[in-house]
Order: sequence, then C-alpha cells, then structure tokens
Amino acid sequence: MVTLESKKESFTVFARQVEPRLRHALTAVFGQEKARDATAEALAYGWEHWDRIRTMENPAGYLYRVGRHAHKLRRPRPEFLPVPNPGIPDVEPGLPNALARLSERQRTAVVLCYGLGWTRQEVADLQGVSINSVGAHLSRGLAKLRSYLGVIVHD
Amino acid sequence: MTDLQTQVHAYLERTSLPVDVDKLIGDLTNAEHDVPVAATLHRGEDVVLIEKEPGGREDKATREPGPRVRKRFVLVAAALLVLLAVPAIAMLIDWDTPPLDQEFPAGPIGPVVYGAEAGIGEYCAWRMDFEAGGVPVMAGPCGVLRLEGEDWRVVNAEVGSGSLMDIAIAPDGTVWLADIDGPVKSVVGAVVTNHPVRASRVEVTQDGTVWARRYDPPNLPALMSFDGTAFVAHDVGPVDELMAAADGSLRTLALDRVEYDPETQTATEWPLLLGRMDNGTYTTEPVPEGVGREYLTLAADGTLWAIGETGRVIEREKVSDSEWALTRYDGSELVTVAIPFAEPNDVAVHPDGTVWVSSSLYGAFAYDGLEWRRYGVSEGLPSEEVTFVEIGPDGSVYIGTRLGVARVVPDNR
Repeated sequence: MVTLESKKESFTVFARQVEPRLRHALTAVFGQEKARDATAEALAYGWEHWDRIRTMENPAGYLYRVGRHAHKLRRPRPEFLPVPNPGIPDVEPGLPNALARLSERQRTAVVLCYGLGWTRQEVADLQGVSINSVGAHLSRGLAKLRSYLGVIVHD
Repeated sequence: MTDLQTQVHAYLERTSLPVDVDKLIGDLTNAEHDVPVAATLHRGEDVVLIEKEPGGREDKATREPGPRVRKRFVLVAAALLVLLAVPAIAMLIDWDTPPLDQEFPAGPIGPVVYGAEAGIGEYCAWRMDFEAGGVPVMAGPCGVLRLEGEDWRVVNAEVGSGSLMDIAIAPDGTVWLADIDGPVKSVVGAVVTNHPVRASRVEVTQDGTVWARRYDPPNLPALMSFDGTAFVAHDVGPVDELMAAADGSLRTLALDRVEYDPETQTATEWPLLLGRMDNGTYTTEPVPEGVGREYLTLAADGTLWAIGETGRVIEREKVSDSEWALTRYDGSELVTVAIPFAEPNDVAVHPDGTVWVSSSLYGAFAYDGLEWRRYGVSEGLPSEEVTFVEIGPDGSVYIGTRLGVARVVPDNR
C-alpha cells in the first residue's frame, strides 16, 4: 500500500521535474498568468490521480493536456504580460501582442522551439503531431511574428 | 536592436511565473490529511483547497491565507470535477483535436483521392500551383511532384523543404519556390537554380514576370521581380502578400506597421494597404481595418477574399479554438462573415462563387453565401489535417492534406 509520505515523496520529485516544462508549454497556449493557474491545476489533478498517472509512459504530456483542455473549456484568449519596463530594454514592446495574435499551434512552436530551446521532436511529442507539422507551424509563426513586428526586428 | 530569437527568449525568461511546487504539494498533503481535495486553485498568491465530498466535519475546506470557506464550495467542487473529468474523457476520444462546436452538412461524397498509392507521402501535399495546361504541381518536404496520369511523380526531391512557403509556375513550366530558410529556387526537372534572396511569397503574372516578396533583411525593399538573370528590387514601400490577378496585374497587401530606421532613428507609420503593379506602375490604396490579413486570394473579378483573426469581426459566432472571420472586399464594400471552425489555413474562390476555406484540423469547407458545407474523412478526404485548397483551371477543387490530395468536382459542373 502506498502511504501518503511515499506518495508525497515520489510526486514531489515528479512535480519538480515537470513543472518548468509543463508551465512553458502552457504558457505558449495561454500566456504567463493563466499558464501558472493551468499548471497548478494540472499538478493538483496529477496528485489526485497519482497511482494511475505515475505508470503512464508520458505523464507530463498527459498533464499538459489536462491543463490545456481544462482551460480551453473556459475558452480564454491568450494573454501575455507586457514587457517589463524598465527591465528588458532590447525587447520590442509589441512582442506580447504579436505572440497573442499567432494561432495556438504556431505560437506553441515559436515559444517552445524558438524561444525556449525545445527540439521540434519534443514539441511534436507534446502535441501529438509530426515533426514536419511543427516545422510548418514554426515557419509560418515566425513569418507572421516578423510581419507583425515590422522591420524593428533585425535578424 | 537584439535579434528576434534573443528577444523572445529574454521576454519569456523574465516574465515567467513559476508555480511554487513545494507549497502546492504541502497544501495538497495537508488537505489529504484533513479532507479529500478535489482541486487546488491558484489565483495570484491565494491557494484555495476545495473539498471533494461534503462530510460531517466542520471547516473541511480552508482558504490559505484568508477566511474559512464554507460548504458553498461543494457546488464549485462538483463543477470543477466535471471540468476535470470532461477533458479526461475527451482525451480518451481524441488527444489532439477538440470536437467541432456545431454540425455541418456534408459536402458531396466522391472526390478523387491521391494518397500513398499514387506516390504522395505524408506531408508531401504542401503547396500547389498549375501549369499552363492545367496540370497540378505540388511542392513541399518531399520536393516537387507533378500529376501524370493517375500518379504523382517526384520531379525533383532535392528541393524538398518543410519551410517552403509558396510555389508559382511560369508559362514555360519553370517551378519557382519561395522558402524562408533558403534561397528562392527555380526548378526545371532535375536542374535547380538558387537565387540569392530569401522570400516568403512568389507569384507569376500573366506576362510571365516572376515576382517575389523578399523575406529579409527587413529594411530593404520587399517587392522584387526576376529580370531573367537576377531578382531586382522595387522600392515601393512595404509588401507582405502577393497575388497574381486575372487582369494581368500583380496585387499586393501590406500590413499596417511602424518602420524604424536605426541609423536615422526615425519611424514611419504605414496603414494597411492594397497595392497594384500594372505595366511598371505601382499604386496603393488604403483598405478598411477589418480586412483579413492572414490568408488571401483574389477572385476572378478582382474581389479580395481574406481570412483574419478576431478583433476585426463584425458578426461573431461561437468557434472552437480561435475566432476567425472571412472578409470580402471589392474596393468599396467590406463584408465580414464569421468562420465557425478553428484553424483556417487557406482560402480559394471557385468561379461559381463558392468560397473554399481549409482548416488544419477539421477538413475543408465550402461557403456558398448561405451555409458552410464540410468535407472531412467521411466525405473521402485522406485526412482532416488540410494543408491547402486550390482551384484548378478546369474548376476542380484540390484539397491538400497530411496524407494526400483530394480532387473535388463541384456538383454544379
């Protein structure tokens, strides 16, 4: 029988490990504040169903879908925090709005692959799509992002 | 100014809001000691623990910090259980695609389908254009493919790319490819010529002129044309989309923007503009703010049909993921129609007036001005992950999907 202490121990290791990536993935969908809520809800769900979830092949992917679908049911629009000012002087102030204007899949590819260094395979695994599909969303997303930001961005 | 990737990374790192995992687990553990917890909600710094079942003990739900929460939260807990259960059930059914929010009448059954057996691999149906004789040619990660008889032959695999953005075929059969990760390519059979300019769009007008929209660097003229040897720039201001019109002109769309010149430290504001290049003369006209700007096409009469995201929607209907609108602009009147499905990714106008819109999740839809008819797997599409919709010179509608192409002959032909 699994005691509460052993459950806490194993879940703590799991949660500490997955929280950053889970939050990053949900940030791409919802923006920072809603991603924090969705991450906490997904982890709470994981705690409640730990006996089942711990045996899964990809428990982090499962919790991502829990967090995503739970919030999607409430149909939020993505909301990205403004660029801190003062704070990041070289970041274009229009970047948060430009990110929010991308479609969800394009935004996920841009935020995770381009902004946070995930591989296309990792994003493909997360979304359950092919690596080519991620590449296409990344290409289109970047093209739109550059377009939205005008020539202020120099590559 | 820092490059875009550094900006995105810095912004995300600096604005990240981590969950306090140890505090969350502590709350969950404490709750399990005292009460069964249905859900934990974080709202700012507030943590709300919600009891799973009503019981005899007092104060089974607590708010930390803050006043005690009473049994009224039992109803909230029940609602949250439903919220958590429904997605779990939905995930068992389909992990990736949320269901459509409404039923659509099906399009006619019986498209001609070209899949793996016809030589089309997964994600080979990427972009399409037509030779002067009407033969369809596709390009994408598998290279250039041409329909010959009932099979698609790989004309050139070397140019395969997942970042290919556009294809256009010149009257002499040369295939022109725009790729944002590489140079513009012209392909004649096995012979590939690289042209040292990156482009997001390529078009061929009726006079055979090849046009490209330069992808970068951003502070150089965007509109270019091929003079037979090299691409030459046309300093006509911003250009984002190119469309070859039936009257022989080239039409462009330029998104509204502020251009900043770091050398002179001056900024120039540009409105949303439609442009027209005709016999070497370029003119522009401002267009209404509501015109869609994501996916565009010109009807034979020059009317601009486009898809745009929310914020510019006049009629709104409930949609699945994002809110999108189809706009029609004839130069004077703007008509906006809500798109009742998510992730539209291409638009084409049939000579009979039907507007075809594809979705990367739900198949293709035909809008006749009154209703949307849906073409999905049950109507014969190889996959509902659609990549493009194109109208052939003979009126056939080609629907590209992840697993192949369907050719639909509208039933009024």
